[in-house]
Amino acid sequence: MIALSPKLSRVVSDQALDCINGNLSLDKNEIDTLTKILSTKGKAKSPVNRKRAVNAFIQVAKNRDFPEVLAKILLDSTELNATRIAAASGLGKFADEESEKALIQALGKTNGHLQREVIKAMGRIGTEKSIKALDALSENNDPGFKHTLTFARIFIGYRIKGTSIDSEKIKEALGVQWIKLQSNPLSSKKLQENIQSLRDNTFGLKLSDDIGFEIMCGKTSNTLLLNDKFKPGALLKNLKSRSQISGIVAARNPKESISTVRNIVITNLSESGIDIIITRTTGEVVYAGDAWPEGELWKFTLRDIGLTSAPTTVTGTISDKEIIFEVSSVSQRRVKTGQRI
Amino acid sequence: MTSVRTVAENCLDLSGSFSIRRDVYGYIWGTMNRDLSLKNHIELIQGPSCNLCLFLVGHEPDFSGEFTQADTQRMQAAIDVARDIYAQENFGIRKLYWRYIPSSEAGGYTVVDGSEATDLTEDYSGPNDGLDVFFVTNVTDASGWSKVDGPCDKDAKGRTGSVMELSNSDLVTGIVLGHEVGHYLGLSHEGDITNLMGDDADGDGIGSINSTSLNLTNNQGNTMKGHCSVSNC
Repeated sequence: MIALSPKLSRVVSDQALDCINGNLSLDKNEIDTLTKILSTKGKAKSPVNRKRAVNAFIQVAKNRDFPEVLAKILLDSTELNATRIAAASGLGKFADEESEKALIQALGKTNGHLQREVIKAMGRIGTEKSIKALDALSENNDPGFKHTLTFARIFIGYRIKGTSIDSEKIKEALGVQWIKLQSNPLSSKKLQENIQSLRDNTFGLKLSDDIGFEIMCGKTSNTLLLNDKFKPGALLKNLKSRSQISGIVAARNPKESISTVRNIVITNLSESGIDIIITRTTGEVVYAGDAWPEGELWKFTLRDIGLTSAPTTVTGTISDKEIIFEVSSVSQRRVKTGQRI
Repeated sequence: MTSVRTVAENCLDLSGSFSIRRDVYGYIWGTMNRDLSLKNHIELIQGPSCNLCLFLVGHEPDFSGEFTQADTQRMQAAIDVARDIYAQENFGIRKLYWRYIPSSEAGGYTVVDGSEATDLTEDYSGPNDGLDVFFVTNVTDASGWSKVDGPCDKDAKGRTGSVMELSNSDLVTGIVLGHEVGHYLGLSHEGDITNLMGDDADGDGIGSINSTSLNLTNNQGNTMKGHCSVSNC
């Protein structure tokens, strides 16, 4: 019978449940006892929940006997699945040859949730050896399994030098779509229409009726309308002349005759060039970036800041004659609602 | 005393004929192995209460997924245990919204650790007036995870719900549910194993509960009643 200190007893008791794992600290004797319980299946004086014991061990054992103890549990088919899953997950936190060896060994002897946890752990710490082992499972066509498997392989691939990565395959596997939208100069007629559709709601700005840009996003037309200080042939000169509200971004549904202002473009002169921020009409900053000289042109980059479900970058160039820019975004991750029962 | 019909109409948006077990309690998974006190329940849900949106992760309607019919009955029994615990402080669980994430969508979310639990709550949200609780097959590094004093804005970044696994007994599953939802409603660990919020007396970060963790204090009740998701009917 293995004696447990009061603290260890509380940590591993099968009469209790963990609700939050935190900064567990055990002294050397307690860690030795915990290692003994897990590695020898020795009977403790009070009943032990081995999943809790594994989780405690992962928190406190660090380098000590770590892979060996967890590997033994993972490979022991008489252990409960929940305990083996916790062990696999723990091995995935410790990059070590022994950990990888145990995971590879377990891969072919497990299935279901346990096998997927093994794959996840291999993704986190695996090397070329793991890729070879994972390749053998590529015939399983279950979509969820495939996603876990592909992601693990990608993860390892990114870590290993010299591995070629097929970015198209990665995009496909991860279900990501990059969207690139090119800006187009507005014709004089369309520019007038757009300005009129704002019905004077221009935040006090006088807008240029010579130059404006359009980006179609789905069915919505987003237009960048510049302030009237911007004159054709002197765009860069105007931009560099002072800190200012350089323009507004308006959105318009083609079926509607009214546009609404979505964003305000503010440019500030700086030592290295020009700082650019784009705010909502409430003043909340949504994009930030800068412009800097590169040869005769100026280049600029803007990124969205704060929380976003569709990361977006705006890049472009400005000369006296024209502004060319492109908006790159990834497909939106939407909050899902599940199915009603 | 207000009639059941009046409470059902005013607090649960029910009309016409309805079933007490299924519609008033929200226990849609068949018979209950616990006695239900209707009088107490309808009194409680008129006062400070929250709604729960319960997600079964990896469930299939024909029970071929992660959960059997017995599991679903255990969930509703666990909710009843949590209702009893909260009733000590006159706090109700009013509506239950049941949702499931089919196996084809659930992906790796059937077995989660703490960080995957956060991803799960970020990816899925139920109706805005319900706190999201996700039942998963296995939580690898605990029995459940929840944010303390969680947000009412489901679009908030980070953990916006509770995630838990089923244990072997209705009682303990109910305590875990009450504990995790208690966290979301603003409660922290207490330092007393007989309290619903469990023991973390030495502050080492391990919050433990067991089958005796059934008590709720007046202060805890008041904290829960102050959460943004709680309303009177």
